[in-house]
Amino acid sequence: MSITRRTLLKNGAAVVAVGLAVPPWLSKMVWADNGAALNFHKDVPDDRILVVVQLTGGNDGLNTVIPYSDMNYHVNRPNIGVADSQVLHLTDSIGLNPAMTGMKELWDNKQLAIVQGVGYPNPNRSHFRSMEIWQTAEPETMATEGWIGKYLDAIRDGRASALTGINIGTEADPALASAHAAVPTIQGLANFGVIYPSTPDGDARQAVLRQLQTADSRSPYGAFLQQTGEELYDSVDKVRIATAAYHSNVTYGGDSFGKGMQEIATLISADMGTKVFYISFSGFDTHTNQVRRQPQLLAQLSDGINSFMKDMAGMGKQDKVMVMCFSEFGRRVHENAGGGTDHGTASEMFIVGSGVQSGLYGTYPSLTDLDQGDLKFSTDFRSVYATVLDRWMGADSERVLGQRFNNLTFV
Amino acid sequence: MVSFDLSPEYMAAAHLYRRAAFGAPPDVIESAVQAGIGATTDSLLNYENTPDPIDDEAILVKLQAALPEQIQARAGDRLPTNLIKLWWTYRLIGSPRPLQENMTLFWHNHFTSKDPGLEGDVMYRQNQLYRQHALGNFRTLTLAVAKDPEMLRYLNGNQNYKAHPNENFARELMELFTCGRVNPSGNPNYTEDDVKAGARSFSGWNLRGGEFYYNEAQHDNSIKTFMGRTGNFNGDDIIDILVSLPSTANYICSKLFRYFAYQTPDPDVMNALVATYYGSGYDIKAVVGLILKSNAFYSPEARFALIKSPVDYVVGTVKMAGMAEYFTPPAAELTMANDVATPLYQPGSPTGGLQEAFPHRQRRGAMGLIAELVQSFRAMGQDILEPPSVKGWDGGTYWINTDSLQARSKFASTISRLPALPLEDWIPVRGIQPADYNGSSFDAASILNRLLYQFGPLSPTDNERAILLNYAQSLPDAVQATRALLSLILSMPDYQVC
Repeated sequence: MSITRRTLLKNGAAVVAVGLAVPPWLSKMVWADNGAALNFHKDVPDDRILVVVQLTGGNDGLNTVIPYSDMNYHVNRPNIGVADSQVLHLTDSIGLNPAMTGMKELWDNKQLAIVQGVGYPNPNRSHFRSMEIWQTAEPETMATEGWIGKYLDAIRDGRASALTGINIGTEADPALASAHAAVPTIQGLANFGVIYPSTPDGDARQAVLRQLQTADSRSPYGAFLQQTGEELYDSVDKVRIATAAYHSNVTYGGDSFGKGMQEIATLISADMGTKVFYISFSGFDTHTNQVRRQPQLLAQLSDGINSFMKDMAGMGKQDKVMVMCFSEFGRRVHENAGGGTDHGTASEMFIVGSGVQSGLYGTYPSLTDLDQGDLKFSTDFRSVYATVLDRWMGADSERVLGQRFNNLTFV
Repeated sequence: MVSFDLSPEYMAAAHLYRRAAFGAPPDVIESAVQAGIGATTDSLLNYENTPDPIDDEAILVKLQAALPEQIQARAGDRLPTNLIKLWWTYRLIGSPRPLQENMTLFWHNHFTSKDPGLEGDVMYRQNQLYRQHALGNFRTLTLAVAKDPEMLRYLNGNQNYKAHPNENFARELMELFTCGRVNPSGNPNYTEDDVKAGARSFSGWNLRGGEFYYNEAQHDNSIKTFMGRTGNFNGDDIIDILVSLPSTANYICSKLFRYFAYQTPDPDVMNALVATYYGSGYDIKAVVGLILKSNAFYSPEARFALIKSPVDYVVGTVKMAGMAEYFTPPAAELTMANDVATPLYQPGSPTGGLQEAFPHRQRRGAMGLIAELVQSFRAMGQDILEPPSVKGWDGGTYWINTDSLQARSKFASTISRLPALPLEDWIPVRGIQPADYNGSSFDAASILNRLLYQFGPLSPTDNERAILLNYAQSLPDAVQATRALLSLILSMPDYQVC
């Protein structure tokens, strides 16, 4: 730190005196590096990590986890249905899309749990609103904070640490919206904190920028701005060290999801104390030409997660990491005239990790007992969140979700 | 410490412009000093006396034509909300009535709505409504908002029926738009029964064919008790009651004061504002006028006491740089050859082309310079027309975090590389001729002082000055030094406040 604790206290007190709430950075003084006491449940190790994968656009669950033995599946999907012989069988009734060999391997290695028929009451078929519901975990009201943001606020308990949660992507995700310190969005590790072109002059100017942003300033918010600047550049240093130190023999795909998963692996390798990573993967709104597009996406998804788990195993962290994958809704049972599917409701979620009790959870929705042509959900997504929060993260899900939901047993 | 002498009047006028008008270049501030602060304030307030030549429809037509074909095909006759963001940004920069635009932004963050996608037409109408009533009457505006098609959609007035009252609008009307949830002592300003009675009073305030429609058959005509009064209330009665409440007077006056001056007004100031609110019959211009002419507004406590919003930061930078016209040519001169501002660039300019300044432009297609600004708002956390929730942006310290600081520095870097920067204005002729811009001898301190004057005036510490000068002197020529200093000054803590 380039300023003394006394300066910080003095300046901090001045800011508070003009009537502001205590800003999160002020409590940075009490930030403990050992990460102790982050957990509510003491029996849960406090070095566990959650990776949330958001499939944006509404992934067609029926062509992902396929009820191949159900005749109604083939009747409803004469053109886009997957033939029994192609499906990667998991049980005698359901199996994975043929593109998902990576997920099949995880299943065979007992690292994959599938929660079937996940949704929420009064499903909304707007991408925007339904995603917001999943992100805020509040189906009935318009909420400001995301469920991950609330979790991070709860474990940080007013302390600021920019890297407790990290969003990988191009823009901030509402699931990470928090009332206190913002969760950084990292778009390409190499670019994080790089303001100027990577030339000798750019690097020199970057150093000057850093000096200036952390220098004493006489503006009323000087201390606050300086602290945020310091937090930024501390994070930049940590990310840079992580990037330089990362070595892996695992091959990832060249697609953006694969790259993103490798970036998460890179950050995990550096033990920065990050609890939650969040990554969005878009393109699943397959109204037309689904048979060409969706398998490409599912292959990238499944290969990306498979490579990531191998990478984790190489670091000896396979027991420390859980990947949770969701989409804002599934799609209609009946295919449309354009070779695709329209917005639907219930779908499945994937939970991946060595600490996961592999298997199927919930019940596969009926293809005949429908609600306006859509699958009926049987497991509330907030039960899945609650399970992850309570049993995997050792948090108090009620504090995050506002009410108690039944835990499932995949952890 | 600024090493040149500026009069208190100049500092006051610059303060007024930063707060009320997103800032201005030195020549505008000098003119304000000549005209007098009082007259300048009146002219900002009475903007209806200033002609507004911006042709909104013509700009929209041009922008629509600039949309990539793929989006045009999808949009059909509908307007993408993103396009309305471009139009409004044009206005924020180019309007000769900056206080009107600033108040439009205030109302957008007060009576919030969001409708991303292809609902730009209703967002446009709502935005024009806020502009029309920017410094108008609070009761009139609130009533118009209750009938605004976008608001009827956003807060579900359109689903408010006698048998199934929808409480969304009534609740937010009280919680966020008028009296606020609690008073300064933390006691609730209304009960759940008031919300229910309010919702019933607005039942039947629906939409038909996209327009407000009083659906009499769906209006609950029974007696309601609202805020301690009983009667067969309709929506306008509810608004009459709400705007007359002391809690509303306090809520609106203190919010306006915080927006223009500083966080916590003294009780004396609040009393004067509330008296004006009532005395003027809820006239917003009277309240804002009182704030901008108050001693509190010019007190040391107010100077540089607000953290710039992304709009303040971006629009302010463009305006203080004296580049407003460059970003906002008249609609007729906008050609859409892949860029809204293409004709403004000199082909083969020796200082580099647009591609150099905005290397990502091609990838985004025909979005252009204004789109860069909209993207910058968004990267900094203020995606205009898409507030994060009905509560709007919290603002203040919430504007600053590790992401938004990077976004501000990246914008600073981008704008400092613009070929069209008026560098010749900023490189003092004393000691250097324009012909020698590329020479190695230049006066870094003069350039630094000029930029601190242009973009503030700012008063960095001796340490900050030394860091800047030391670096500038290491650069090969005056042009590079000027661009580098600009990018760094705009990233300093001092420049994040106004």
